[in-house]
Amino acid sequence: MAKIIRDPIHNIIEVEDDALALIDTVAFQRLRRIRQLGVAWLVYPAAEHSRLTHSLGVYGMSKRIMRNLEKNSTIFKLDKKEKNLVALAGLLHDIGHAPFSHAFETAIKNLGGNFKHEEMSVNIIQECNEISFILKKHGEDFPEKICQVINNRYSNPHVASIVSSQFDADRIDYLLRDSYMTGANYGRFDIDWLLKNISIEVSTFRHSEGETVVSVDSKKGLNVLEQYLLGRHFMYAHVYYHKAIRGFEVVVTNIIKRMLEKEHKKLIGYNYIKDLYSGNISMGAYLKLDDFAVLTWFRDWYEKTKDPILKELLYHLFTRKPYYKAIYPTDNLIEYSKRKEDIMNSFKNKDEREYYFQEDSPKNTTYKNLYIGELLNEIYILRDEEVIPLSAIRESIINEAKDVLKKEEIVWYIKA
Amino acid sequence: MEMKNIFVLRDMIRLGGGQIRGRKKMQKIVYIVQEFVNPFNPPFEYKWNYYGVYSEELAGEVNIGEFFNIFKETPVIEYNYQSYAIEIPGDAEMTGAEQNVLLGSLMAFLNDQEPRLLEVLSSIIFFEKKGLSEEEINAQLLKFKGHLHEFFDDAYEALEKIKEILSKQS
Repeated sequence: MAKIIRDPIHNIIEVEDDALALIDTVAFQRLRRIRQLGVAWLVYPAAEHSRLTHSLGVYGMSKRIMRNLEKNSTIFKLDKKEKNLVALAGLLHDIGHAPFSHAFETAIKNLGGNFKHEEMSVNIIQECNEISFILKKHGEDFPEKICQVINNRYSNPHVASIVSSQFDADRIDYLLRDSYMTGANYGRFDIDWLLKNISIEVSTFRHSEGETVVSVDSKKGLNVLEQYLLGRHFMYAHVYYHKAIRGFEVVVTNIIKRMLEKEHKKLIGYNYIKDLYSGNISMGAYLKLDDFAVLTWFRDWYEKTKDPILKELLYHLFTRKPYYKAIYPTDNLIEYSKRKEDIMNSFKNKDEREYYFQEDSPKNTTYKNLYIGELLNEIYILRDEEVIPLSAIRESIINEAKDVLKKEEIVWYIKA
Repeated sequence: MEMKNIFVLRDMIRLGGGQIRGRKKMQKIVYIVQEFVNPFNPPFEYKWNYYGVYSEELAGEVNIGEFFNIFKETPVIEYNYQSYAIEIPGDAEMTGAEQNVLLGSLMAFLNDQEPRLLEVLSSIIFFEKKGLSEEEINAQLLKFKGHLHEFFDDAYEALEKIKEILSKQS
């Protein structure tokens, strides 16, 4: 019998027994101690929701999307086992996340390392006994199938459309949840109405003719779809890419980077970070990494380190001093280069240049599909007898505004 | 100004055949070229990280190059994984690097090599520069690049070939 979990976004989430067993594992409970938005709580004080609440939300939303697709479609083909697969994949999709969300990954990537939380999620699902034991009750290959769904490699395309597309349970939940918890209401849209107007259809568009796609009814659902897409755009502008939040992410990234570069072996936690960087971290050690542990380390490092750069970075994190100020350079390469040279020349030494200046180019973003322009070809619209991509709907606001929505820029963060 | 390095990079890619497959390969090629010819001003700063020589500056430069349409990255599948080929779009003017025959010969040779061989080769050059003996270099290679031991001999051969290219042109 399903258990009920109350949730401020979805009101009620019904949790089946196997999901409940997964939730009560050490590996999953760890997500309770990792904040969904990394360091955003330094800017939006209420943004303290965890990856656990988000994962529960994705679980519930996956089931809700499937119910609506089944109700609204004539060709929806998911059997009971696959529905369970989708829901559990939604529950576990973020299980491998590192502390401070993307800051760790960025720090390791900047030093030429290679850590991806998606790969760690796969490792945990397949190798963590308490997780795989529960999943294998559905079949020996069930953990592998979960991983295929999470990585968008599962054979049934209907599954991919629910869990990993431009309009999926993950995106819907984090948009609604992050909007609610930060108080930045841009991401709130009429989800009930949108779900009422989605269905699985067969594309009539020449480049994807015959493929089954998730589509939105043009007469009733187009405006709320636009609301969702615009909401995403504004959430990126005002929350995910907020200059102060990004500035604090740069501080945390530089803290980790400094620890690795200077090999502060005597400071607590160094071995964990080094092993994470080198790809040698054990499952047990990784499951000890969460925001709480790392913040405790940070406090200890601040007290004990004699490294002035590390100390200063930590000081600014704990006292929330406006450390990095963002400057937006021009589109002109020559002017960009001159301004950057001037800034570099203002620093006293190499350490300052490396740790007091950070360039953020669009390629560095860790949020996928930031720009709406990339989404247009993947969301389909049901208009009369046609099933065509949103990009083919000329009257859509999204198409009218796509040049503005797709604007990219380089941002600098400099010690104030 | 640092900006010129972007254009030298671009012209190096052109000299190498117009495309370098993967950022990792680019990292190693630039390191090797810089150690022998050094067309960059200032040179990119490289550090030894767990995976070998790496320049954060160079990684940033490629990002900027892509932003300003000096490079283009397109996805390719090579050695069973997806990476990004760095290509030159359009017919932009050359900087003069194309006049450097030595650079051209070196780029053509290096771009033809497998990334894993370049990883070992760049490591050998790094340890040689630190003044390690041949025995010490081999010990370091086994420690850090043991998984690439099948490329050790080829990397030493490639190093000899580079020296040959350099001596022919001088």
